[in-house]
Amino acid sequence: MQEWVELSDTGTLLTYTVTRYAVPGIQPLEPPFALGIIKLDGASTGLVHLLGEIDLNNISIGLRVKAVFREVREGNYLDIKYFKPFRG
Amino acid sequence: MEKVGIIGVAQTKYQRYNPASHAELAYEVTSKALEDAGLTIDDIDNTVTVCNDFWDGRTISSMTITEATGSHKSPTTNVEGDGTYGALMGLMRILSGLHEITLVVAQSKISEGIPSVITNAMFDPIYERMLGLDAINSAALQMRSYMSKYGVTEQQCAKISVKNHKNAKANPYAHLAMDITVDDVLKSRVLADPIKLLDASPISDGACAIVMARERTAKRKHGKPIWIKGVGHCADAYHLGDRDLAEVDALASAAKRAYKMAGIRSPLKQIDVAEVYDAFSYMELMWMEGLGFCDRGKAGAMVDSGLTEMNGALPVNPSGGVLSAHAVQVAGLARIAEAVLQLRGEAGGRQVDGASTALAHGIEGACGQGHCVFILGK
Repeated sequence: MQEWVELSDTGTLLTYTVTRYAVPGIQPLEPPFALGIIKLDGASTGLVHLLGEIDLNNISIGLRVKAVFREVREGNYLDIKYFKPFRG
Repeated sequence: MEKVGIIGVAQTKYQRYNPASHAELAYEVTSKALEDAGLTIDDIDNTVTVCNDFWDGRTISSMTITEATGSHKSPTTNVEGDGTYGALMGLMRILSGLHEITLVVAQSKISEGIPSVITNAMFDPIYERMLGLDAINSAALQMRSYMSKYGVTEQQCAKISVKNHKNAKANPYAHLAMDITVDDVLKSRVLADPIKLLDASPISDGACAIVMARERTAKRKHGKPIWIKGVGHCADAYHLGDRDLAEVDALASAAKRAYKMAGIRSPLKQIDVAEVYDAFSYMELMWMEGLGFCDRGKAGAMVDSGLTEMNGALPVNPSGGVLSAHAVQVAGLARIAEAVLQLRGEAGGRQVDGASTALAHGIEGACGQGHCVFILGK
């Protein structure tokens, strides 16, 4: 594969979990917080990221999600703030 | 493959906190494994340690146990990974023709560290590490994926925890031996759903050592060596998103290699006992599938049938498995040590009657990225 492939900011949830224990220093959010593997539209593999603006007790595989970007870019992975549920 | 025999094994008791230092743990199992083999440290001409700098809390940590393992007197190498890979390295060093008798030592002082901080560091520092991933919540992603793909239930996973903690009651080395019910597992505190506290292995201090020798030396030095009949290893992709977490292709590949070497065509019929790396309850189910004991997605039904119980056709983890004692780095080597005890007929209350072929399995990396499979026989 030689060329860059532009992907969508929307995708489908392949799996998820809600972390309910605290580990000081390594967690990006206060628990409980949701993580999922998202297959972006146009991609052949998934990426792990946070899920936000979501009911932690009502997440399901196959959910359509959309990236929410941080307002000010810091140049790291959390420039994607999280993925939120989205209809479409 | 030239025959290589295991002629000595030793373990400490596994516990939440052992006041001994990591070097003292290594010394305890080195001494006991030599005694078990009827050897002295002067007989050892090669040592493999299994040290990981993060878990040991210092860099080049393998250099801190040279006196404790007696390896200042012989060539020593270190494997940073699970203990099964230490045994693999020991086997390869013997097969190289350079060494006669090899000592493999793994020790773990998890009580000195914060496991989630250490396992978070196995993830890519640019991407996944920032998400707070660790061994538990990454496994939860896998458990969900596996359950969803194949319709395996939380109850079926819980049965593994019930079985293994019960088996542990007959293992004097086990950390967590107890009678619990499926309901206890389901109602235990949720860590990262669907993983509950009783789906997860404890964190244990402890150590294990084995002594291996080439055929003629093994026969001369020991009455009943246990032979390494086959070995295979394989690893899947690194990034979790690049894998199908519900599948066990790397393990299937490792098992296929080990089975071919050992002449095993029907693993369920030809293997009498298996010790596998069940860091979480669901993993034992997945590993059954990867090892070819049942079809993909069918391990839940196999466990429902009782086939892997102590009185079943294939007892799995008679020792209580990793769910009952999880000294990281050590746990895979402990699977080999337990398999050796089974084949010698020295497994006490956890003995599988008439065991003549055993399987021992270790993993490394997140969600069982890498697998190492040993087939042992009398």
